[in-house]
Amino acid sequence: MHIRKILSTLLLMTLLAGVMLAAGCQSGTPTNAPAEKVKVGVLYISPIDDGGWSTAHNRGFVMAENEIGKDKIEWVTKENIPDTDAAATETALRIMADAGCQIIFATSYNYMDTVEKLAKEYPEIKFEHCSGYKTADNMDNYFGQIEQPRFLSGIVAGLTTKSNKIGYVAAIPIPEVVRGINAFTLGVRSVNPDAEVHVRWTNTWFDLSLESAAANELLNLGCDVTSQHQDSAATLKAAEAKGVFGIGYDNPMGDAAPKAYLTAPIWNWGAYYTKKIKAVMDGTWSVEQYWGGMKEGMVGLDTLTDLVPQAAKEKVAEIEPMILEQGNDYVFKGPIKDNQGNEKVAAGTSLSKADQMGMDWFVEGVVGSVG
Amino acid sequence: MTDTTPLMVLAVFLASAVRYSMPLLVGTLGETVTERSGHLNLGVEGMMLMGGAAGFVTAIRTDSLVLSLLAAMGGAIAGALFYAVLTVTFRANQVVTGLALTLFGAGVANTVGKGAVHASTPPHIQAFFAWQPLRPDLSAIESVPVLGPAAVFLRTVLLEYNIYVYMAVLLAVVLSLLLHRTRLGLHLRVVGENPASADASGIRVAATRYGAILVGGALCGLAGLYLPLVHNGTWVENITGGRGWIVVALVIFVRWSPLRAMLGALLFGALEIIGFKLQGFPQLAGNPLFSQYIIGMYPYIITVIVLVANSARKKGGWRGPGALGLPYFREER
Amino acid sequence: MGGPVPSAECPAIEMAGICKSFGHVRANHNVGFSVRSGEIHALLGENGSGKSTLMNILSGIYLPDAGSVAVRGRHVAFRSPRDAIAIGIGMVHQHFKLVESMTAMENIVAGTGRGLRLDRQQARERIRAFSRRFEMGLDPDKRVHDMSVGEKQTVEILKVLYRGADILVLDEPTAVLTPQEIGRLFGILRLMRQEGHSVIFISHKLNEVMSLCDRVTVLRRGETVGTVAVADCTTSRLVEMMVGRVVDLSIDRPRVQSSGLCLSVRNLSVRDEEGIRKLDDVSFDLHHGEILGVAGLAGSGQKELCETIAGLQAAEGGRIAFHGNDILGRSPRDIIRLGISMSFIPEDRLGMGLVAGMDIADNVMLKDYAFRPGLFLDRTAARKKAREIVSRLSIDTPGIFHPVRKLSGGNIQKVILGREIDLNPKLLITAYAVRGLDIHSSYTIYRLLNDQKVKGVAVLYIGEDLDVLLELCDRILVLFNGRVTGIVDARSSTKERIGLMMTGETPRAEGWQVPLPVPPLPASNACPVADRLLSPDSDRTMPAGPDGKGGGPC
Repeated sequence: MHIRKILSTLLLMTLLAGVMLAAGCQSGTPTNAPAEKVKVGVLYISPIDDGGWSTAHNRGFVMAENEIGKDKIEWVTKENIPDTDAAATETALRIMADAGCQIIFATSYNYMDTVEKLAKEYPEIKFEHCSGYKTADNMDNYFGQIEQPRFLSGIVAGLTTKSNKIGYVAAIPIPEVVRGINAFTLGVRSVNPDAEVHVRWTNTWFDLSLESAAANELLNLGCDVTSQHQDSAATLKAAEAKGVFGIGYDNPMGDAAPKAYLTAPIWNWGAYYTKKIKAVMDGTWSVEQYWGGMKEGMVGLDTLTDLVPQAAKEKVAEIEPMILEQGNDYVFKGPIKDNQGNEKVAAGTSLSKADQMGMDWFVEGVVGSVG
Repeated sequence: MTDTTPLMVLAVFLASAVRYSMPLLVGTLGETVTERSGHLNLGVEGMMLMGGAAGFVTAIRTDSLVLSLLAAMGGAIAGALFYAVLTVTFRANQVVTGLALTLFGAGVANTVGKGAVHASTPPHIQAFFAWQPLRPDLSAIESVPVLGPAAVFLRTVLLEYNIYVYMAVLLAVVLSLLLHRTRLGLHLRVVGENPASADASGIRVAATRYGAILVGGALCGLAGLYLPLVHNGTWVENITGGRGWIVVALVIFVRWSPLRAMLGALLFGALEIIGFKLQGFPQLAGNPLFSQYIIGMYPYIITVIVLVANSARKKGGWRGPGALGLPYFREER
Repeated sequence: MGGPVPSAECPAIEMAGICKSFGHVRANHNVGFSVRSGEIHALLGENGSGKSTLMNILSGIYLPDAGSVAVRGRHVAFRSPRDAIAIGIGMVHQHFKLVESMTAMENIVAGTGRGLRLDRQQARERIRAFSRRFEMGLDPDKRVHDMSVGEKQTVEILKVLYRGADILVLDEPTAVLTPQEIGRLFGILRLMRQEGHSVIFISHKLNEVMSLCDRVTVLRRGETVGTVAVADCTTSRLVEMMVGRVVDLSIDRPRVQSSGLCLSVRNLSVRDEEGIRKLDDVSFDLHHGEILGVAGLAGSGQKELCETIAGLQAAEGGRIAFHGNDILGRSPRDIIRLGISMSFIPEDRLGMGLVAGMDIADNVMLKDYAFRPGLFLDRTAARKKAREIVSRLSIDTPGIFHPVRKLSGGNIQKVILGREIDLNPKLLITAYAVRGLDIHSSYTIYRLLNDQKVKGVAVLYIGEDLDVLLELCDRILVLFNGRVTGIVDARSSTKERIGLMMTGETPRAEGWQVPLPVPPLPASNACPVADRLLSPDSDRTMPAGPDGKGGGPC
């Protein structure tokens, strides 16, 4: 009896130890760092090979590393920390802070409050929070105007569709996503006023099966071009399986569905990351609430593939300089009606930044509802 | 060429519900076998992940479907064996062990699958699962009024599936017969109902339980393989997304019956995708009952209702395997 | 080797020099036991005498430390029950090992045969054939949970026969049966004897042994006392062999002048948490100086009756009046304070009433402390009391600081009863007080109960053994499925009639006290009815009306 108890306890402990190791944290080796190295912490919501959001950030950090020099930066990274789990977030951030990180990037919206809390506790560490709005002496936020390439990808979709039905698989009904749908739809309608954009919410950033289920529902409705605010290529794959076209997100996604891929609005965080890490090394770091657009190179449109009609290529080439010049003012230029027919932005004006940040209504041409 | 008549919309919906129900069905069949032996293995999620990772990685490395299937079963059996050794031989707490297996399986699977993220199912395996062996050619009668649409409807609902779907249905029928019509099934049920009785009758309790747990694990592995290999065509971390837990609920929902498992899985599969159908009705927008979050809870809500109804059953009614969750000690003095 | 050559003369079973120890407890020491073909052989002995150990060795559950077992002249060494079954020895356990949700056939067939195919029709036919041969009347397709206890036992026996056993070991088979079912069982066993089967009948009920068996082997303290032919033997001789000295087996039943009505129960109904009715319209009276027995099959509502009176279970309807005051709905603590004491010995004996890890003194204090003033426990008083109880009830213990868990069953039960009696109750409820006790301890407990009765305490005695109920109690209330099928005078009724009532039959004969309608509850115990009914002779029964219903004079 006793031996059995001991044995089973041992086995269970082995099992659990395995769990710890397997689920555990892939952190850089922080030991014995030469003093001239800068220690950078990065907190990711998903694995860096998710092919979406985290991959895009990782792409940026790889670029920064190449710019600054592999031997100059030491990384402490935590992947797969759900931003809805405040305890896990705090643990991960503390590990980074205690490991001696000088700057910590938290790359998801809901990390915000925990970052704010830790920023107070560790005034000597610079905290960089992505997509939020809170700042402090040592806490900055940064984001990009992905609406700009989304508008351009809308032009591509509007000139590609035959059925005039375009599907949009959307993650979670928050202003960021709504803004993206609206920018895309404005792009579509700027070249094809008859086209409609049908929206399906998955309420998740990342779930292959749900994303493909939503995509299939849209394709069954007759949509012949898809767009997405999701971090996986599931929507593109569904479009490819149906023999129609799709627009990706986050990163170039051509490899996942070469027969369907038109283009994608993509993130290029590298320039910003390089700048901020260098600033810490130089001692010039400051809070700037960075919101970069295409002009700053923070966001962009992936190269249009050969599947894109010539007319669309030409139209994009025509509009892109204006966006580079006017930014979001071009994207959200009046007159804009919401999809109930109410005028939201008068002709001759543009939607204010505050209204963009809190957008909770759909523009004309979107079929669906917010939430 | 999308047909948007209400009938065809329904047909297409039912057919996708069937496709979405597959990992649930096969997992439920596996867990049913396990639970019928009296062991509650909550590690379904872990075993599905282990099977899925092992099978998918094998598929992209070897390009062989057979090896992939064997690896999927093998990976999940490894997890099930852990569970069996701990709970049958060492009589560890089944719930705790099952939970540990869930975490352990996810960790192992995500590590194993690291290199396979974003790889695609090999083309010939993709083609194999795109093959619809029973799909008849209806071009001759398609334009006949009434008969034509009816035939197309039935074909869409019943005959446009890949071989995995038909094998799963066959498996459910075979398991049901095995359970209720054969000596093996009788022995399994006696072990699950009353191991002391089985022991006194000369049935090998531990061996039967090991067998049931390992077979259950193998099926969970095949269920886990469906998602990356067949359904999504690629591997990502935690690809099961909680379906293992739905399976645990489903087994109770269908009251440990392989035949009812088909209906239960279909219902839960439909619940998984019905939200997207409902979003097409703007008049439902804002109604909390139809929000995607709430719809995601329906499988669990339904299961809780079934659990309550089950325990309110009159005395003498069957409430599931009598020894479920209990370790067996031969009476020792 | 030189084992005996198998021949027709050979005994079916020959066990010699069997020794088996558990730790330093010698369960069997040099036991010899021999059974002939075609005989019913009783294995008699008190609890702990080594019967079970011996039979577990015979059925392959235990390996003996020493000694030999021969079956039909051939030496055998069983390693598991499967080996024993294979050679034709089948054990029918006291606690049924059946799957309730399955049919008789499924239960019987499970574990037999090879291969995947299960020929239900053939199995059914074989079972029917056995059932006809031994006049069992069993429906192979009936589900076990729909069966009576007797039928379940038949399934257990058939299970053994189906496996080809011709040597059957029955462990206390009559413990849970009604007299009618016992009669049927004996019929089946006699038919088996005719067919040449050997039956080993483990029991401690002497009258059953006398009426059924051919020979008896008596064990005492792990050793064989001897084997005798029943024909050459008397009950008292068997008891002497069992106990080791002459024991007077008659139970006293003093006649006591009642001092009035103690407890009145009217139309009591109780449902369990699953909504199943456990007590249905139960009415009875209990007087001071009286022992009212409660008979019934296991689970007929005995437990609920005790618990409802003790305040541990809520009632759905009805009244319980103690000295005229309604106590239904009062807390257990209030009820104890009123002078109602309950001891319930569950099947595992340790489940209720005592904290197994604590010593006798603490357990005694457990019930008493609540009624003493002050914050601190008076341990000295409790110790004194514990010593009193130990000496008065001759509890066999190294001391009052010995953990209760380490005492033997009989001593534990004495502690429970001693503690209750010590509270000087006016009403003492005891359920299964002698469960599993040896003869000597049982008689000590009967004597204790009679002492209480003589002191004027009203005793509600829930029992299993009908012989004891008939000898000890003044009246017997019979429960069936939570309903009272009758209250009879113990001095004038028979086991057979009570047995019938236990299965739901309500006899309407002279001398039977039928509970309905019971007189309305008197406002207090000053009601003349109570006195008239009880005095001067507690043997008197309530006069039955012409329609068999009790005439209520109040």
